[in-house]
Amino acid sequence: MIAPRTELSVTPVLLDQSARPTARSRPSRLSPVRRLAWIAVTCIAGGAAVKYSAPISVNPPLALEPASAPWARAPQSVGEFGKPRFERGWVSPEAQLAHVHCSMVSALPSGDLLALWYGGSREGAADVAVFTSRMTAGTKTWGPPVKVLDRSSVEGELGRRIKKIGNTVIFPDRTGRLWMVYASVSLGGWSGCALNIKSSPDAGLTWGPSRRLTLNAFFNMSTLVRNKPIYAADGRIGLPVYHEMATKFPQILWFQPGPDGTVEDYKVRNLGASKGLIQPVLVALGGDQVLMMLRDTSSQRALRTSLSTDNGWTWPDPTPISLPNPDAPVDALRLADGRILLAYNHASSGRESLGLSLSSDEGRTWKKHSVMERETEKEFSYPQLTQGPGGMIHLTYTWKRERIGHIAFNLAWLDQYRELAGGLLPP
Amino acid sequence: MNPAWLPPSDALAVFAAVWLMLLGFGGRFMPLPASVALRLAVAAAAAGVMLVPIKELQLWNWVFSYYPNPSLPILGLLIAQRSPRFLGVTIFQSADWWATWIFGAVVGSLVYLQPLIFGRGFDFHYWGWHSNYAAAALTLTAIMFLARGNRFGVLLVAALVAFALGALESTNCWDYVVDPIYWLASVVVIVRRGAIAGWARRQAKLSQTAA
Repeated sequence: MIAPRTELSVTPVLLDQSARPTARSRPSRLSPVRRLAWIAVTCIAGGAAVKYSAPISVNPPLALEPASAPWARAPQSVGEFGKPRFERGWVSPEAQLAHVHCSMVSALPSGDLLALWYGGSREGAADVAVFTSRMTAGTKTWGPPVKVLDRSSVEGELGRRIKKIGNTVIFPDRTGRLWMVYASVSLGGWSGCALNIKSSPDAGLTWGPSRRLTLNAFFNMSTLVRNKPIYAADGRIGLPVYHEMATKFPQILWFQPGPDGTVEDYKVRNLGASKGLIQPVLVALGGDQVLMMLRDTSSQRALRTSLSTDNGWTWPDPTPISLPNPDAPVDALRLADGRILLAYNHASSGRESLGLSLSSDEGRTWKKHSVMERETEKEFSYPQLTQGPGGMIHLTYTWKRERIGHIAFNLAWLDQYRELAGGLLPP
Repeated sequence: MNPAWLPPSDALAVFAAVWLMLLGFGGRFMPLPASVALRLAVAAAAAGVMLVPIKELQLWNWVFSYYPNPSLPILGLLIAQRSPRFLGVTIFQSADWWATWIFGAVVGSLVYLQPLIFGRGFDFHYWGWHSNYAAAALTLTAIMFLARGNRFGVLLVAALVAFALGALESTNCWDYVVDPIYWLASVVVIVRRGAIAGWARRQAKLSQTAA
C-alpha cells in the first residue's frame, strides 16, 4: 500500500496516503500569528498547571513517627509485664480452603487485632479471595473469616478485567482510618501486578471503593506489596513496595491520605540500585534513621540491609548481613527498648524453619533467638509481626499453606524463653 | 473532576483512542471521496463495536484493562491520521509527523528503558511526579515546537492541559506525553523509514557504480 520512499522528509507510513488528494491541505508550518497565539495558550496552560497541581511531598519527611503504628505504646522497659506469656493458635479455620497464604496482622487503635490473608484453590487462581479476621480487644480468639475482596468485586470496583488478586496489606493511618493496598493482575503472572488502594472508616467493618494506583510507566505493570509502612510526622505514609518485571528492585510508595478516604497525592521512588532484592521491610529507628531489610532472590541467598539517614527518602545500596535468606520474605519490629525483632526463615534454601532473631545495635549484628516452627519438607513462611497496645507481640505466618498460624508473646518471654518448655525448639 | 453524569475522563480517553483506531480500520473500506452520511455511519459503527460485550465487558473496557493511560500525543496523532479521510483536512505535515515520531521514540526510550540503561539509581519516572517541574518542562518543550511552527507543539499543549486537569488515571506527567504503544509505534516508524532510506541510498549508489 505504501510505496518505499527515498527521502526521509515524507509523510510517515501510518498516515493515510490515499485520502490526501481529497483533503484541504494546510500550510506546512503554523503562521506567525498562530504561533504567537498558541504560545500564549501554552503559557496560560503551563501557568495554571504549575499553580493548581499541588506540589506536595516532593521533599523528604522531616521526621518519622517512632513506632510502626503511631498509637502503639509498647511497654517502656523489658519485663514490664513480669510474667512471660506465650500463646499459640490459628487465625484461619481448619480446612477453610485448599490454599491459604500471605497473612498480615495489624494492631488497631481500638485495641483489636485485624488479620488478613488470601486463599483459594491455589496461589494465583481466579477463585482466590482476601479474608479478614478480628481478635477483639480483651479476647484471645479470632473471629470467623470475612471475605473482603475477590476477583469479581475488584472487577466491579475498578471497572476493568481482573485475572487474579494477590498480596494484600492493611495498616491504619494516624487518624485511625484503616487502609488496604492490594495487588491485582489483568495480564500475565505476578510480575504483571498493579496496586490498588481502598480504606475503611470503621476499622475494617466496611470498605470504600478501590482506586487503581499508576506506579509504573510501562502499562502500569509489576508493582507489588508485602509489608507494613512507616509513618512520617507530616501525615505521609511510606509503604514499601517492589518491582519484578525484567529486573527486581525495591521501591517505596509515599502517599498522603486525604479526607474521607481519598488519596491526595502519591509517588513511588526506587530504593537503591541493587538487583534481585524484593519485599523490603522498613523499620523506623529514630533520629531520621530507617532500616531496610530485603528478601534476596539472587544466588547469594543472604539477607540484605540498608540504612537511610533521611527518614527513608534516599538509601545506600543494601549489603548482605550474617543471616541467610532462602528467597523468602521476612518481617521486623522495633521493640520499645530499641532492639529489633526479626521473624524469618533461617536457611539458605527451603522454608522449613521459621524463627526469631534479635538485634541490639540497630541491625548491624543479630543473635538467633528461637525457632517457632520446623518440619522437614513443609513450609512456614511469610511472617508478619505487630505489637498490640497491651505490649503483646503478635506473629502470623503461613503454616504449610494450609492455615494461617498465630503466635503471641511478650517481652518477658523474649528475655526468658530459654527457661520455658513450651514445646519450642532450640535455636 | 468529572460531573457524575459523565464517565471518568480516563475511561473516555481510552474509549476515544480505541474508537479512533477502529475508525482507521473502517476507513479503509470507504470509497473516496465518501459522502458525509457514509462517514458518519462508519464512525457510528466503530463506536457501536466498542460497546460490544465480550465476556461481560465491553470491548473498550477490555482495552482499558490493559492500556489505561493513552497519552495525549497518541490521541492527537490518531486524529491527525483520520482527519484527511473523515474530515477532509490534512492537519499534520511531514515535519509535524517527524517531530511526533522522534519525540515518542526518544522520550519513550528514556522513560521505559531507563532502569536498564541508567540503573535504578537514576529515576526518570520519578521526575514525572514533580508536578511543578514537569508542567514547566512541558510548557517550555511545547513553546519550543510552536515557535518553530511545528504542530506537534499543540499536542503537548493538550497534554499539559490534561495533566493540569488530572484527566488520566495516572498522576505522573510522563504518562500524559508518552505511552508504550506510542513509543513502540514511533520506534517502528523511525526504524522502518531509516531502513527504507538506507536501502534507497544503497540502490542509488549501486546504479551510479553500474553507470
